Formats: sequence, structure tokens, C-alpha cells
Amino acid sequence: MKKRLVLIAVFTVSLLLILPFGLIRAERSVSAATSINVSTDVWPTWPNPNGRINGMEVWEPATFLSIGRDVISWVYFGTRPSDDGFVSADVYYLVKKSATDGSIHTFEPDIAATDALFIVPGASAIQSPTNSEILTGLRGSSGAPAAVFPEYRDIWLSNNAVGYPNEHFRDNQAWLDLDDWRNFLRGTYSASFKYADTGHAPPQIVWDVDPWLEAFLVNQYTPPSAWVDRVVGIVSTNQGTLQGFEIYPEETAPRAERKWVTVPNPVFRQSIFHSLRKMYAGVFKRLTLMDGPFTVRDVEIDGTWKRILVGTTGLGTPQSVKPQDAWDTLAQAPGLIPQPMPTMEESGRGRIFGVYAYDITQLATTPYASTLKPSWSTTKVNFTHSGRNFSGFYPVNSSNTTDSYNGYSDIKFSVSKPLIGYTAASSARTWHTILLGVDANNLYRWIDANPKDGKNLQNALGAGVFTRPVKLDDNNKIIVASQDEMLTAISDNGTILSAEQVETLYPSRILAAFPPPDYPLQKPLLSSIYVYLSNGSLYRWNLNDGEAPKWIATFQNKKGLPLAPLTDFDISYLNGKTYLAATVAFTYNGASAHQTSGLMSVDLTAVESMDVTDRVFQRDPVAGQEGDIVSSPKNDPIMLVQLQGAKGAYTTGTKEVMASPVFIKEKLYLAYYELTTSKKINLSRLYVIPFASMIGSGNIQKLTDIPGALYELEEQRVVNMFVDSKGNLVLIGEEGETLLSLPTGLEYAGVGSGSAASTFNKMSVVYWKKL
Amino acid sequence: MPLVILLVIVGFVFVGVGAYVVRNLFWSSQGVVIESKLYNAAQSGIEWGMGQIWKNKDNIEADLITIPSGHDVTFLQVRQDNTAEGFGEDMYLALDDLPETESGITLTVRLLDCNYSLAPGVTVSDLPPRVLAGTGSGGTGTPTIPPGTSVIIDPSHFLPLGGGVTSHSFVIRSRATGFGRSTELESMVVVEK
Repeated sequence: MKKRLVLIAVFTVSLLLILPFGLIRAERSVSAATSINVSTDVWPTWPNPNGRINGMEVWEPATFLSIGRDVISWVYFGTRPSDDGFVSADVYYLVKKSATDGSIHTFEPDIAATDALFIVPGASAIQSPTNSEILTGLRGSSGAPAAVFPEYRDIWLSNNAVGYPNEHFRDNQAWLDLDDWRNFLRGTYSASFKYADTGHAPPQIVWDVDPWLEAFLVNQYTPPSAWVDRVVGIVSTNQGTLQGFEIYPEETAPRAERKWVTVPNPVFRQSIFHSLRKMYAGVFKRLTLMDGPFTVRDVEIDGTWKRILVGTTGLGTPQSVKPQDAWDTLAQAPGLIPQPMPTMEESGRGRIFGVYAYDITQLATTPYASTLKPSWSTTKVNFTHSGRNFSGFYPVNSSNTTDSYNGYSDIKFSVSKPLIGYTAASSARTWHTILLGVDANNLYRWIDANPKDGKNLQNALGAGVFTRPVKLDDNNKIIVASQDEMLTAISDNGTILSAEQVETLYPSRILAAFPPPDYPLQKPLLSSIYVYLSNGSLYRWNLNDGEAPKWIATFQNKKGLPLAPLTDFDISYLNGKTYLAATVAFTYNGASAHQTSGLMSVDLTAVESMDVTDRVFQRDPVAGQEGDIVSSPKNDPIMLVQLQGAKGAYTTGTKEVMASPVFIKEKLYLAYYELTTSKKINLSRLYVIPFASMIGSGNIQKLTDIPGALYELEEQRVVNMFVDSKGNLVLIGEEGETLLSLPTGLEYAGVGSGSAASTFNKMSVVYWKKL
Repeated sequence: MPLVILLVIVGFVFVGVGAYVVRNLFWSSQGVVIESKLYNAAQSGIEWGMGQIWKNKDNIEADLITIPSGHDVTFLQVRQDNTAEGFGEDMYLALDDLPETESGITLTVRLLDCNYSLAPGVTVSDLPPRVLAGTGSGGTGTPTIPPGTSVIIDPSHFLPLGGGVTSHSFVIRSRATGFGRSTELESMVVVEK
């Protein structure tokens, strides 16, 4: 009994001691994460990290071959540390001192944490923005959301009479260190990277004068005086920045210095989420914010010559709902969990995509908000989650008008370079910006816009699609019937690429060619725009005569898969014929489970003389053909060279094409490098193909039988190729050394290490007399 | 006696004629000398002008000069390229000092641009021949792309197109003044690419 009483007493005391602690712990558990009901219609979205495609890393964008210049630029990408991790980049410049000793100088630009930073939250730029200016910009205003979609709601998540916003960008916020974001934009946040990858955008060099306008618009063209004798490098990065570098090629040790970093309006709406995602996940993610190529040109706006830059956000940013615990994790609303969390509809994951433009006419070495001047932009937003179906279109321009942006809302993304040029029906010039993109139904779309404000030009062709005059009938036979060009998925021997992945890996290309010799106006106008779509279709567009794009041909391999472009293409005229050269994919997962690619050259004049039903070409080289063979059956208008270091079907280790192929004085040039350890291949090749005589001359033409048609550099890796200001084609090796310098026959009157402007080089007396 | 007087008179006549002839010869020679000096000075001005044009050939305004009313031919003096549309009205080219000449001789040299037009209704005297820039001495100056070469219009494709401002003509007027006389020479030169 005594023992029993002791046990009961011990039990009771224990209960009295333990229970309160348990209650307290229960109380603590409840207050550490309090679920709060919210209205999901303004549950915000975050940009979704960009995933790998079939396990592949992100490729550096191929550069457009530089001719007649002694300064070039390129980028190398770093690999991701995790599946959706950040991809970094290194930026390089090369100067060849052709005017003096011919030495090669390769260097990275200098950057600093104090480099001028601009943001564009609205129509104007703000230099060195304060925290308040950034946060005000991020919040947007009623009816005009900025970074919070569908809209900023200041009191959304409430607990115990304390209300928190759906995205805590209030001025008094303490959870986000904006200096971290500034440093991230400048690339001085971490020692492990300076730049995010550049996506589909190769770096550009901007020269003082446009040589085409100078040569063909004598006494009518005025280059911007602020740019005299300057060489400027511009890079766009997926940090969400456009960055400008002053290059000094004439110095004894050439160098480059960064002068500015700017965040265009469509990108400002998403770039802050780099920091938020980092705070949430612990690592930076790859966000495709500033993924698209940009173009710089001199144009006339209201009768005055201006230098403008137009770019796109490329792939843009698919959206996902903000994570449910983000408010607590980021200390935006500590201890609070909103509910119910909406779910993103996969098909409605949507996109934020934008186009931006700057007027850089007055931009000197020292930038100001008034000289690195935003000109116009458009941002399209759409997504669907279970709480909201949202879409919005936000044009920004100096007149604050939203009309005449037909077609922009249709474009889901664009990874093609904007094209800028002019038409001249009479003596007056009309300037155009042509954008090429893909819509939500996978149709290819174009927009013809005014460079001044991005609005449709009133020429009845403001926006449209590409329409082929032939299609496959039910029996797979080609018949005459209109069909809009569509981006299609690829399935090849187990390799599956969605339609969007095809365009991502093989972006469609658009370039303007000088008019053919028989065109009445021999000026650099838009009479011959060529478009090579990722589905293998080629169009020519005579915008100067007010025509719609005209289908030329579709190029496929023998399985009916597209010969999609890998780089920019080239066009040339010779002996009354028009030729195309392109680097294309031959297979996506051919024999031995690997992709093959090659050089294609086409006699377009012969193609266009054929019946339209004969212009869907299915070609590929003989499987396993080595790269010293040109294939072009007798009288066939297409010539193919497989870029392969050895015979047979094998998986390539590394294969890199140096820039786009180029026609120079009746020869076609292309260089590539291959490293395949299993086949003991470590080889750089330069092709110098007399294309006109080889097209249609036989299926097995050995380039080694033609002197000077093929150069092979064993155990040497070419990393870059350009034509210098003396007309030499130069191949550069890994150490910055010249591997090969080959005269192309181009003769320049004057030389210069930067802008190779021709100069007066003789004087003669016409008469002499005594008055 | 009369014969002596006659002889004296004839002698005086001979002396006078001789003095006249000598004096004329002297003045003629002096004239030739002065003329030569002025000519040489003017020629040095022409040479100087050619040197100035060659030195500044890539910095001279190539835009068409339009002479407004109220101006004379000096409006055509060569200008520095203002790299903007049109020509800078006051942007005359800064030239080196004129060559030295002999004491008593003043040298004036004008370098005149032949790439000009007249505003409507304007007349100007002593204009140099009009030769528009870019036309050359007889060709069209049209740029051409080498056959079989890329025709993609892009500033990074800097091809040797030729054409454009292929030639620019100038007139050099050099006047040397001194000793009550002046000599003026004119020469037209053309710089070409």
C-alpha cells in the first residue's frame, strides 16, 4: 500500500511538472507557423528557374563573323552547380594591332562595384537608385503593376491586426538588403562570378560609324558625334542587365573598362527575384530575364539621326506561384503561412516577355540617365493559377499612349535578333524594327515596328505570320495549299524536344541582305530580308515593295526533321545567282545516339526556279561521312559538308563552330573544332570552299583534292575567327595566339586597329594657271 | 665749232639714249626680278596649300557647302569636318603658318572647297569650278560589294565597298603682292581614295 501510494504520488507530481511544459511546447508550435486565410486572386508569382534541356548545359551563342575589324568579343559560360543552378559567364575582348605590329591582345574588361547603375522602373532611367526608388518602382501603382503580379496588395496577409503585403516591397522593409541586389547586378556580389550567362545574346561591338550608311548615303548620313573615335562593347546578361564597356584598342596594352550597367523596364520587373530566390533556396537560380539578342543601329527619327538599341527578354520568364513558406522563410511575414496555396496550371504557366529600346545617341564615356536613355518598352504578362487567370500588356513610351502595339500580345517569346533598317519608296526613308517570335500556338510571328516608339508602322503589314504555299496531304504528299509556319516538336530515336525547346536550342534567324544586282535601288534597304526558321523553312521578304514574306524552301533531313540553323547564315550574289550558306543540324539523335551537324550551301536561284511542290528538300549526307567530303548530287542545288573529324558514326566529345559561315570573294569560309577522345580526334578545321563550282557537281567531292580548300590544325584548338582590317581571315587559339592568317582578297585602302575606315590616299593636280 | 657742238649734241643724244636704254634694261630686269620673286612666292603658296590639304585630307568637311546670300567666295574656304549633318559655318580649318617670303612681299593663300552649291537667287563672283564630292573625275563613285561576298547589311561587316566620298576637289589661289605689283596663281587638286 505504501509502495502504491508512493507510485501514485510520483506519477501525479510528474504529470504536474511535465504537462505545463507540454502545453507550452504546443503553444510554441502553434505560434511558429500560423496559417492565415488569404484571397488567392492576388497570390503573387515568381519567375520559374530555367531547367536543363535533356540534361544539356546552356550553349554559348554563336557570334556573327566580324569582317574588316580588329576588335572582337565573345563569352564563355560556366556550368551549373545544380540542376537549376546559376550559369555564370566570362566576357573577353580581343584586339589585333593590324596597323602596327600585328600583335594579338586578349583581355577581360575591368569592372568595379562603383560602376554606374541605372534602373528603368517606368519611362525614365534612375541613376544610382536609392532603396526607396527601387521599392517604389517594384510596387508599381494601381492598374500598373511593376514587379508584383497580378498586382501589389499592401494589406494581404493579416494576423492580430498586423497586415503584410503579398510581396513586401514597402519602404520600411527590413528583410531584403538591396545592396546585395545592386552588387549582384554589378557582378561584385561574389568572387565566384561577375556575369550571369548571356542566353541567346552574343556580345556586340559598337563602332563610331555605320560603314553601310556612310558608303551608300553620302552627305545624308550623320553618325553621332558623341561616338567619334570610340569602340564600345555591350553585353546583356541574365542577371537582368545591359552592360557597356569602353574599349581602348590603341593603347600599348589594350584594355576595356565597364562604364555602365542598366536594367531595362521589362527586366526590372523580374530581376529582383534573383535575390528573393537566393534568399529562399540558398543559391542563385538561372532566370532567363535578359536572354534575347539586341541590335544597335543608326536610324532617322523625326528627321534626326539617332543611335538606338533594341532588344528582347528572349525566352522571358515562365511563372510559378510564390512558395507558401516564402513569407516566413524570407522574414517578410515571420511565422505566417498563407493558405490556400493556388496551383499553377501547367498549360497556363504563362510568361513574362518584353521588348526594350534605348536612345544612345548622346551616350559618351560618362553615362547619365539622359544619355543612356530608355526610349520605349513593352511587357506582356500572362499566367493562370487556380486563384487567378491573369494577362496584362504594359507598353511604356514618352507619349504614354498604349495604342498601335498590334501583335506584341501574341508573341510568347523571341530568341531572334531584332532587325533594324529602312525602306525607301521614294526619296523619303521609313525606318523599321522587325521582331520575330513564337506565339502560344507555336506559330512563328513577325512585327513591323517604328524604332521611335515600337508601334506598328502604318503600312498595312503591322504584324503577321509566315505562310507556306504547300502542305502535306493525308497521304503525306506535298500539295499546293496554304499553311501557316508552325514550330513543331522533334522526336528522333529517343531524343524528344518540345516545340519550345527546338526554338530555344536552334533559334530562328533573320538578317537583311543588300538588294540583288538587278534591283533598281542599290542601297542598303529592306528589299531582301531573309528569315531561316527553326523548322527548316526559308523566307525572303521584300518589305521595301510592301510585300509579305515569301516562302523559298523548307530544308529537312531524310526523316523529315528540320535542318535547323545553328548560327546566323550568309547570303551572296555571284554571276547572276543568289547563294545561301548556313550551319545546320543534320540529326538530333542519329546512329550511335548523337547529334550531327554540318555546313549547307544552296543555290537559291535554282531553287526558286523549281515548282513549289519540289521545294521541300530532304537531304542529309551519307551517314558517317567524314568532314573532308562535299556532298552535292549532280545538278542538285544543295551542297552539304558534315562537320565530323573522322569517318563513321560516333558520339562527338566537343564540337564548336567558330562564328557564322561567310562568303568572301567566291569562297565560303567556316571553321570548327572537335575533341573526341575515343576517336583520338583533337582537330581544328578551316573550310575555304569554292562553293559555286561545287554545288551540283557530285556526291563525293574530296576537299583535299582542291588546293587551299581545307586547312587542318591537329592538336590545336581554334577558339575564334574573324577577318581583320587588312582582309586576312584570322584563326585564334586558346592562348590568344594566331593559328592561321589567310588573305581573303579583300583590299582595304586604309588600316586602323579599331574602325577600319578607308582614307584618302592620293592627290593629283587637275590644272595650274596664272591668273 | 658747229661740228663740235653737233658732236656734243649727238654725244648727249647717245648718252641719253644709252642712259634710257640702260635704265629701261635696268627697270625691265628689275621687273623681271620682281615678277620672278612674286611668282616664286605665289608658287610657294600653292605648294603650301597642297601640303595643308594633304595633311588634313581626312578631317575636311565632306558635306555639301551651300553659299547663302551676303557672302563672297571666301565662304568656300575649307572647313573642318564637324561630323554632324551639314557644315559648321564657322568651322574653318586651322592651318599652319604661311611660308616665309622675301621682305616686301605679302602672300595670301586661299584654299577653296569645290563641293558647293549656291542658295537660290545667290550670285557670287570668282567662284572656283564646281566639282561635287564623291563623283570623282568622271566615274559615279557608286560603292560595290565584291562578287561572291557576304551581302548581309551589318556594321560588323565592314567591307571595302569603295564609293562614297571617293574624291574631293579643291582650288588653291595664291596671291603674292609687293613692289606695287601682284601675281596670282591658281591650282585645282583632287584627293582620292
